Amino acid sequence: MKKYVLQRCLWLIVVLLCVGFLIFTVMYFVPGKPADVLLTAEATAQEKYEFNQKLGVNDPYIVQLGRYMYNTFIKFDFGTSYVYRVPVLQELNNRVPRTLTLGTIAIVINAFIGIPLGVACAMHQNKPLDHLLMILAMAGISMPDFWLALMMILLFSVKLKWLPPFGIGSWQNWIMPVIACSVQGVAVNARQTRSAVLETIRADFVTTARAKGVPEHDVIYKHMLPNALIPVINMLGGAFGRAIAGTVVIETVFSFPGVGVYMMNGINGRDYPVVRGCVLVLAAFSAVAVLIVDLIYGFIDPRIKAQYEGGGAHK
Amino acid sequence: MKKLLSALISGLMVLSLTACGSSSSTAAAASGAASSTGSATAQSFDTIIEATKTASNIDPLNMNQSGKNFLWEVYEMLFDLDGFGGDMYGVLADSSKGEYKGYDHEAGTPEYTVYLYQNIKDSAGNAITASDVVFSYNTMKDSGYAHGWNTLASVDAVDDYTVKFTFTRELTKVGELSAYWARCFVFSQKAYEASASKFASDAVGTGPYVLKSYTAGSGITLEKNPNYWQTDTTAIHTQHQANIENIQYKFIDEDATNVVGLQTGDVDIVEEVATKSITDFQDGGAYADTYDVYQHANNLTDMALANVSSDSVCNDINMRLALFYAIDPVGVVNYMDTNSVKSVYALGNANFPDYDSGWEKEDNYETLSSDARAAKVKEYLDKAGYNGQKIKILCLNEEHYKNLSQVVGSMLNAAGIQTADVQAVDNSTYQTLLADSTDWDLDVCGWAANDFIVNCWDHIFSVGSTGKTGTFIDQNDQLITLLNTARETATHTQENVDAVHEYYISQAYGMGLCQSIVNVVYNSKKITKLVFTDKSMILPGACTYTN
Repeated sequence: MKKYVLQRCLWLIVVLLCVGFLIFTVMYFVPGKPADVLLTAEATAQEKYEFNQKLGVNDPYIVQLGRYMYNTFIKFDFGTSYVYRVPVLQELNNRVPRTLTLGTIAIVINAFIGIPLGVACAMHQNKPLDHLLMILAMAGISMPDFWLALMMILLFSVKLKWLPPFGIGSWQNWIMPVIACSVQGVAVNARQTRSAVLETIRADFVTTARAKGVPEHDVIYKHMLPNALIPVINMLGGAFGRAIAGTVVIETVFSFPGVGVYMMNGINGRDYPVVRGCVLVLAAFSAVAVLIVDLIYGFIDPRIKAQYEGGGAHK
Repeated sequence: MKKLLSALISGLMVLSLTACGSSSSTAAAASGAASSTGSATAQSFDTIIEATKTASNIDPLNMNQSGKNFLWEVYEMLFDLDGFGGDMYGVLADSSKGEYKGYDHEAGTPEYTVYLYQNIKDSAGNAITASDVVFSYNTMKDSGYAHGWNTLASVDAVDDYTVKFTFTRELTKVGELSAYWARCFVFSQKAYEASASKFASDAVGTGPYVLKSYTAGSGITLEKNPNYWQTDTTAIHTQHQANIENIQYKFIDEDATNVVGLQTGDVDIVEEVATKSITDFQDGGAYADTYDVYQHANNLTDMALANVSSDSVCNDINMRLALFYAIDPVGVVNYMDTNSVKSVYALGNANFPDYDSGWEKEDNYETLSSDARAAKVKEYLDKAGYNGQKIKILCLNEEHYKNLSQVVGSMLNAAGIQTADVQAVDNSTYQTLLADSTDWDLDVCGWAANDFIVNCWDHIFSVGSTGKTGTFIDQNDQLITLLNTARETATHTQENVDAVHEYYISQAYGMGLCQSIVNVVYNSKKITKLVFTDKSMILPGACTYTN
């Protein structure tokens, strides 16, 4: 198992190197340079050239690439934002915890509400409870998160004056963003869990367990659920990676200073260090999330664990 | 079961509809419950809260970035301008000294001597001397943000409180001095070098307010400077007053969120509220007892400029005239909403002191009545030999410019002129495309200046990104000569300004489309009078309050 984990960690480094190379190359060929955004239209071509020269963006591709790869992967220096004028790593240290907290709470809610709902639906398949919860799940999936966010603001901030509409001043500021981030996930999770549980509910081992007189609670949570959770955990792992990057709309609506908005501003402002830094961090989080998901597979399913220990990298 | 499901679905739909709805209907329903301050957490009246666009940093060197209003409360310049196009007055410069109230200048020479107050200190207690002024200007010049400073040769400290500015020539054009002296904040060299971020995330200034806290992407809090250096109250201009203890700037980019902030009482001032959202805050509106709306015309003029290079179909003056006669400015204003924009009749607007209202009565493509335009379009299309080439329209990817471009395109199509799809792009791509004369024919954009219309025209027609005489104009000595004559202080007469206007109209280089109306919504229970900078930004510290 340790060998498997070590191999996956080494692959993580390769993945990050490839991501770094790709994002650098893509940003290099995107039209426009930082001076076009940072200097006003009155700036002359010479002024723009000199401005870009100071930033090092006029150098040849291979020179810039070499400098970027060395600084990022050897010195762990993501550079300084052209727009914010603050080291990217320093700014990410402030923003990642906020977005990570938002995403993590949303994932936890997804898991602790979505999974039991899905199990309940499956256990009461085609009954009123199942229909009702699936209708709610469909509504949850259909609602755009920004629309839900705006509706909550109108209801809880404007009408009821219970919650603040924007900012990060207190814990109350987090309630609506968390709900907006998690509703769709809960709905998707519930449907996915229902589907997965329905596949296992008629399995022979479940019938055997019931025949042996195992309590229904144990049948569900000790026998059925571990088998049904594999696709659900896979989905939660992917959702975690997306949660770090995909909250830009929620962050914009709630004026929440997170990684999503930081990266969007970087893209629009041709702020290369910000974009590269954010993409690398997101890639790292996604890769770690996938690794954790794979390890959880092994924990849940002994067959998979045996594969890791026996076959190394192959599942 | 089916009936139950149908009832449930219907109930959900009704629920979602009642939660939806315009802000006015929501506000109307809540009006009975809305308190005068509106906020669940009551705001102390020693604090005023303004919503601004997100500032990427608090760097005083890049003062033209959005969301940087707070800089004018924390930092000061040698001089400032008393409103848009107003007179220059001394701030750090001692107006009691020098022939020109703060400075001396011998006519015919490129040297200007500025005299500082001798008791200036920043919020960290550092004394500000001439060497700090030198440092500030050199730092600004090296930063790359001080474009247009190509006539500044050197800045030197004559003694501790005297600074000599040497230019490459005598500054004789209108607004040239203020472009240096009222566009560079002064700070302590010691404080700047001690700052790890070089003032990108901290601030030490000489202004009436000090930075209390800054959260990137979230907001800024300022508090009154208890040790403000200027103790002579008679020398403090209205714009530099500190009439409130604390100022909070909250970074909010969405118009809807701004409106919500006003409705909940979490925000006291919003400088740009969309016209469609101000009804609730005007007389008779749900929040009219707490808020008021102050409207003023934006300094920016929206216009359509032609690409006159040989790569464009607009190289032919007849084609340009056909295009501009096809665009009906009255129709543009009607389409864009007469409550949101107003008409303009030049590449500039009536805010400028050297704007001539007589231009509105002239007979040209800016002023011709709607029903007479079709004949003119046909005439000039025939002269141009138009054979169906598609006109490429370029604009920034902002809703306002996209709408303008759409209406311009529609008018051209209605007149029989083919257009390609509008290229609405982000700022960086826009600058790149603009510099390539093969990529566009008509640029729908906005231009402004801080003081005079001739300087606005200078921005448009002078050396631009391509290094040629204007991004849109090939070498045109006559235009530049007329412009330089009009910009000289001694010859800045209405007659000379008119001559420039007449020339660019005769060449059909561009056409004014409209001017936006800016809606400032503010808490009238707290604020009795708004005070603005010369760039029309509110100074919350300088506003007057009911307490």
